[in-house]
Amino acid sequence: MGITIKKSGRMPRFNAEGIAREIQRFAPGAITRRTEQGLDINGRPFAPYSRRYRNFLKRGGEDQKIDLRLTGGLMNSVKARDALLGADRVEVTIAPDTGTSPVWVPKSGSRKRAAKAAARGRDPSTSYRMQRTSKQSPPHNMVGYWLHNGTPTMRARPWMGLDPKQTAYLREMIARVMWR
Amino acid sequence: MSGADAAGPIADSAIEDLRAVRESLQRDLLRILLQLDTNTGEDSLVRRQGQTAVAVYRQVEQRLAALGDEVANVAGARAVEAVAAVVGTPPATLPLDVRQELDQIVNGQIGDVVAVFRAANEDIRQAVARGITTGGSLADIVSEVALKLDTSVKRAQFAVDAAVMAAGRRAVVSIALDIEDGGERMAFVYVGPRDGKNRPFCRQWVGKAVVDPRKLDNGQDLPVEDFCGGYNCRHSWAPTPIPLAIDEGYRIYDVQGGAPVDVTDTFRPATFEAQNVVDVG
Repeated sequence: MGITIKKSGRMPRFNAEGIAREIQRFAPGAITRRTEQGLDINGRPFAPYSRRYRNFLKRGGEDQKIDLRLTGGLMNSVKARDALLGADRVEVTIAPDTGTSPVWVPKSGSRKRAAKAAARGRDPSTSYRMQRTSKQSPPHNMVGYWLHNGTPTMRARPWMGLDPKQTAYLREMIARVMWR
Repeated sequence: MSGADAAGPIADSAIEDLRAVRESLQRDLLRILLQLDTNTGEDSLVRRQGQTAVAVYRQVEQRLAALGDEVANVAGARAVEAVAAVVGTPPATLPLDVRQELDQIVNGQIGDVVAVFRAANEDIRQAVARGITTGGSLADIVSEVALKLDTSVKRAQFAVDAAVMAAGRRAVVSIALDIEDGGERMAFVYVGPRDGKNRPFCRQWVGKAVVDPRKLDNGQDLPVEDFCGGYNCRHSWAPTPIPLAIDEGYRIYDVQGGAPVDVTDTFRPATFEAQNVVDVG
């Protein structure tokens, strides 16, 4: 007994472009949004900032939540940097760029202004300011690497990737466009 | 008294600019190379960046030499000594006329960053776009813009920073808005800090999602999808599939008739109960 297979119409084709597109549409936003929520790639809260860094943020009037963001340059640079499309595989590189951000430091005199504001019954936190220096940060990809893996003086805060829930969501998105 | 002191405060700042650029590029290059050592054979993208960095460094060396020649041509041979400060040789004291000429040259290059950016918006955009599409280093773009605009590398760096931030946001927003058959529709969550320094636009939108950021107005005559709340804005757009955004508790807004309207409920899937309501009244 044999089996006869009859082919009619057009066979679906592996949609490498569509898959790459969905990854590019989803991954950068997923990474920046989850990081902003203070969660790492395992869905756990980031290690807290050191007291010294919290103080630095406070003196600059910055939000002290742990979102790995100061100028926004690193997070803004996260996007698709490369895509390799094959007959049966897709590889998309999502990463920060090699650009740098200006270095900002707390503006001198902030404490005095804050004390004056407090004396006048105003919110002192709005008196703190940062000022731009002529220096530039290390490249964003390096900063991202250090944040992700940690350094001898800084705890690791793994942020570059998708958490399990995001991965599952991306799989569903890919499944909808995988064949065309 | 060092030669830099003698050249006056503005010449000082020009020399400082050159020195800072040189040092930061040397540092960047070393860091990239250091990473290559730690990631040997692991990441072709990183290797390519390393190769680009070496090429860019050579270009910047040439650019610094050209800047030195330029100053020398206009300000006379003694100015070469001031430029030599950049490469480590202390210059001799400069006479007053040379100092004034140097001041004039540098003064001519000092302009408001925003004005520089606006005047050469298209040039910068093209340079940035070219850099992004060819995978060139951003330091390369800075040099190119500085050369093209005849402005200091520092000013060009500021302008390119703003342009690169804008280009980064634009790239993420554009592809998220481009839906293929079967693709998921995205909302754009406005993410970033909430503190006393937020602009009114940022204060209004941070933590909320919109269906199309291009419809918003930041009151600064700048495209919201590129600049968010304005120049140097710390916020960004995070494209998020609408069901996921709702699941995570974000409210979704659209601009209708010039005013923001909460449209979250229009995207909620109809529940079984809602689909089977029978009016028995």
